[in-house]
Amino acid sequence: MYIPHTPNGPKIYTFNGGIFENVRDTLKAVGWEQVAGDEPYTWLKATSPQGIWTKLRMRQVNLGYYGLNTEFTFGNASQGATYYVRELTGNFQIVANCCQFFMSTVGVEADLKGSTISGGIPFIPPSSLPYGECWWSTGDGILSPFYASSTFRQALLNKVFQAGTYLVGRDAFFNGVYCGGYDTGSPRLETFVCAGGIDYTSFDQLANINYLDDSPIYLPALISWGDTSVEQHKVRGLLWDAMVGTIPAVLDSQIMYDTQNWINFTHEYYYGSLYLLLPSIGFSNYSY
Amino acid sequence: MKQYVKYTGSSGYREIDLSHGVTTLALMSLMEFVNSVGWEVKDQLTSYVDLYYMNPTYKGGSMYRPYTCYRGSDVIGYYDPDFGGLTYYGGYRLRTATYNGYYVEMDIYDHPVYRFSIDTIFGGSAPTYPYKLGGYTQWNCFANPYQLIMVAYGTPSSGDLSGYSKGFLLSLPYLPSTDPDKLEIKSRVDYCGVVCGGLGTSSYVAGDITLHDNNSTSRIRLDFDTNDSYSPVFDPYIPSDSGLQFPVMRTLQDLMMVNDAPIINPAFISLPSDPSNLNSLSKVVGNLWDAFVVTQYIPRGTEITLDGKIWQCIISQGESTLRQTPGSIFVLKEE
Repeated sequence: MYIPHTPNGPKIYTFNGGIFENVRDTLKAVGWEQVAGDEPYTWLKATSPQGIWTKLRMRQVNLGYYGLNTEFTFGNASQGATYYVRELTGNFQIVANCCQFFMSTVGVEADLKGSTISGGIPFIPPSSLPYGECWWSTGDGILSPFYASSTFRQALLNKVFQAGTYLVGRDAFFNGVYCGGYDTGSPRLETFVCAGGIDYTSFDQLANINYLDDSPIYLPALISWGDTSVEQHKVRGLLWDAMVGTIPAVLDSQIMYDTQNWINFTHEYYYGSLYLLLPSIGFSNYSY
Repeated sequence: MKQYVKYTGSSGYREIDLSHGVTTLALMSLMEFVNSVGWEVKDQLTSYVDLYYMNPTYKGGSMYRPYTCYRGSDVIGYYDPDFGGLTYYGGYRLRTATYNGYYVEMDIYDHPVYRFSIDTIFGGSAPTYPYKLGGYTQWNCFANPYQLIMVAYGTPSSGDLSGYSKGFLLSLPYLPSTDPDKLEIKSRVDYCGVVCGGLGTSSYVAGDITLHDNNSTSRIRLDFDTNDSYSPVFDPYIPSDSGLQFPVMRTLQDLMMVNDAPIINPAFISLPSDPSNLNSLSKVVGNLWDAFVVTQYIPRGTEITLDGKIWQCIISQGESTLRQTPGSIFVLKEE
């Protein structure tokens, strides 16, 4: 299995409140660059080892009834969806590298306070490279901090738009084309399925698939989306420092695979889990 | 490619010509071929029937047409195409190379009615699970020490099983638990042999190899507890849904990259987790050797060059009513 690794690897950081400052400082610590942009926003630019880049626009904003929030928007032209996370005390967690970040509340799946946001640049096979900007994002709190969305915290595959509570808070930008996240073509992570469990009827009679001893199959975190939100998915690339396991697992549970530690970002999703690489202990440096 | 393909390092390809009917030469050619990639020739099946005499009789008001079978002047048995019975006509007993301590054998022979035929033998037990392949004019054969895949590309000759028997697959799959690198999650499958395709029995039409819901025969041996406490799962015969399957992704259409190339996946083999329950969830037991699956419908017979090797598409399946991604299996044709 091929997993693209960032040169300096990921960092994981937990914090209680101070979302704006903590996210900004963590991203700068893993290689995101603070760049000039329109006030009063803070702009961070990520550049992947392949030279692909994106920008993240952030600011603290008081939304009146909703209180103090941190606002996140991906895209050089702020073309992405805007996600809000309320400035509340909570056990927040961010796993980040120079290409992407995943912020969530420890132990919480879909939080109506808007606690989950993630996004970044995928690894793109060289033959498919676009020139310039490419990114994906998902987040709770789209439109309002009280909306929870179908993020990768909740599901690998995308769900169709459900009015009211669970918006599909997923979007992406590739080669100059924006894919909004409100329909069937929104970003998703691929996983294996099988027709074997025909007595499993909750979802198109398709079953997840794993080994006979119930251990999962691991595959690269293939991210795909349509050219528009209603078009057929195309695989755009792989998430850096990440993989997908084909069985459900409790969120934030950790495993060891291929001599590395991984944390599960997705909560008990039938078709699989997104595992994020954790920082290595570092003792391997002694061998050099 | 080593990330996706389990290479044996000893694979081969041969076209078996049956344009003049099933002959000793065709059987000999298959025998020589699998022998050249590491199979063992265990026996030449010499106790053949050399004469069939049709002897219609009435039983219970119905007409039966059993054949009386002679070797020389001796009656050695009877054969009825509707109900089975003595079937050997001539051929060879062939054995795969030993993998993880096990092997699969098969008898290949010329059947008087169903023509080119194979009986498979798991773990040294009696021959069973007959596969009738018919008299196509050409079979394309892919073999390695643990596997044989046969796909018909010729035209069916009269009296054969046209439309039903276009493929045959026999494999001792790669088992993750035998991986010396210890890099993969271990599935505690101790032994697994699978067969599908052809005609399952004399009264049941099995059909081709497909991506999903193959008619499959398998014998697997499992260890769910400790290394010395085996729970053998016996030889299920599964002529129905939920047989051997090759898992793929979940899209209604081909799953392509933006450069219009499909995704390459390992050729995972899955079987029902409970052999006695056709509705039980499928589980992966291992991988097909020298093969991979792509997430696109590609016409059977298409050849591509990848990793410096030539691969041929042997199975492809388009849209699925269950919303699985279309897929095609490629096997190694030329190193």
